[in-house]
Amino acid sequence: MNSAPCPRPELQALVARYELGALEPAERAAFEQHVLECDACVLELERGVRMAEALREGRSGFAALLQEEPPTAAAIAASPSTVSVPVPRVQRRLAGLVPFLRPRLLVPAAAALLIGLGLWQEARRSDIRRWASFPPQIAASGGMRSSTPGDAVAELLDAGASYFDLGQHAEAQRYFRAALEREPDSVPAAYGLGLVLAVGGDLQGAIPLLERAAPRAEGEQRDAVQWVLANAYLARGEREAARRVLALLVASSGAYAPRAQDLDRRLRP
Amino acid sequence: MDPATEAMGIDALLARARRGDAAAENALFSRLHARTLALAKKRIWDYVAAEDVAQETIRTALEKYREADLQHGLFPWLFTILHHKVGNYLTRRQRDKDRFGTGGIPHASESASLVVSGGQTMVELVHSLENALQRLSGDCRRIFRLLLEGASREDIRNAFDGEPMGTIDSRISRCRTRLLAMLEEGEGGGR
Repeated sequence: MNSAPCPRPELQALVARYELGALEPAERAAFEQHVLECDACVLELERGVRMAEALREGRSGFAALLQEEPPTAAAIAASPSTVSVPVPRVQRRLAGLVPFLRPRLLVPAAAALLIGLGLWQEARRSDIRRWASFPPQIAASGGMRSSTPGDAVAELLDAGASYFDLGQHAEAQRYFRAALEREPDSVPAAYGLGLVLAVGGDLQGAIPLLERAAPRAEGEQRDAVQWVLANAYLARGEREAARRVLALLVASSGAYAPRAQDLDRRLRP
Repeated sequence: MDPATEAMGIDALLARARRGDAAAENALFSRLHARTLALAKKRIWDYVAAEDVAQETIRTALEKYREADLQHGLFPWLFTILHHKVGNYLTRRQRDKDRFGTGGIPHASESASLVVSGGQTMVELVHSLENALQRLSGDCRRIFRLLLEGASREDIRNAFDGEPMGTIDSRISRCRTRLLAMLEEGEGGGR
């Protein structure tokens, strides 16, 4: 049994709902048929069974553990753990962008980003490490909310965001791509995939996706997409393109306007 | 296998097998065999023993299925039975080795009867889970606590102020993904 990725991630994303008995009969039949042909989904289900068994094994201890308040981010950072996620420095910093996929986190995440960008010096092609100066703990916060929770695309976006949070960018990319294939007009999917590609340094792939998402995004999400797009342009050394997007952010008078104005001032020739 | 049986989905085959249709039961056996055997081999590393365990697992699953009301899908149930059968087999083999110095050649990653997968024992897996659960968000911790208490989706929905069921399913799915990913990082040191 090999571990090749599932060729139908939109079905793989249904695993939890299948385990819960929450699928409609037709969905369930399609999923079970798929499992017969897919190593990755068999392994995914088997991992779920193992986890469930381990949860049952330690049930009383876990129940007591889960009664306690969750530790603070600072406590997590300070304590050694066997489940720490090794993420390269640049990726760890860029991972701070992911909350923008989640509308309810837009404002606090934006504020953190603005603080992070105080470290911005100048926009040169080689400065990608510098534009990615974001607090890493943002990546672990919160959950993504889709406008239509519960549908297949929402599941894919959720899975993509979860993997992105954990620094598993190849997995995240696969889920965002599947969401985009299923719903080509999805703004969060285009944005998510664009963001993952940017983090991986694939600006050629990322920028068209972000350009596609920006005009269709609305409100705070639009500001977030534009902000990342401007940064992606800068990372590619395209100063004027970045300034055009920053001008839109300034004109919107949104949460990013002051910082966009400041950045634009620095970018003036 | 006749073409009509071959074209049937698993649900339809299960329904017919439940009514005592031997052809449907055979068809189910064939379809489930390859997957079950592959998983058994992955855990046992002994083809003959894995074949026995796989066959026993499917037989047990199909027999019990006649009495059970499977709301949660066939595969989690099948793999849970497999998990227990493999555990029993490994425990038996370890006991034989301890007593008689026999029991086949263990795979290098198989340290003891408690090995469940990926070189991790159940004790280690429980310990990894303890670490991972502590790092989950408040909502995910709440969901897992409810699940451990035997809560249904409806109970979880009530605990979350009657949010739409789709939102609840998404929450559970997201928490499951996070926990498994954390466990995987713990096991393999990252992908």
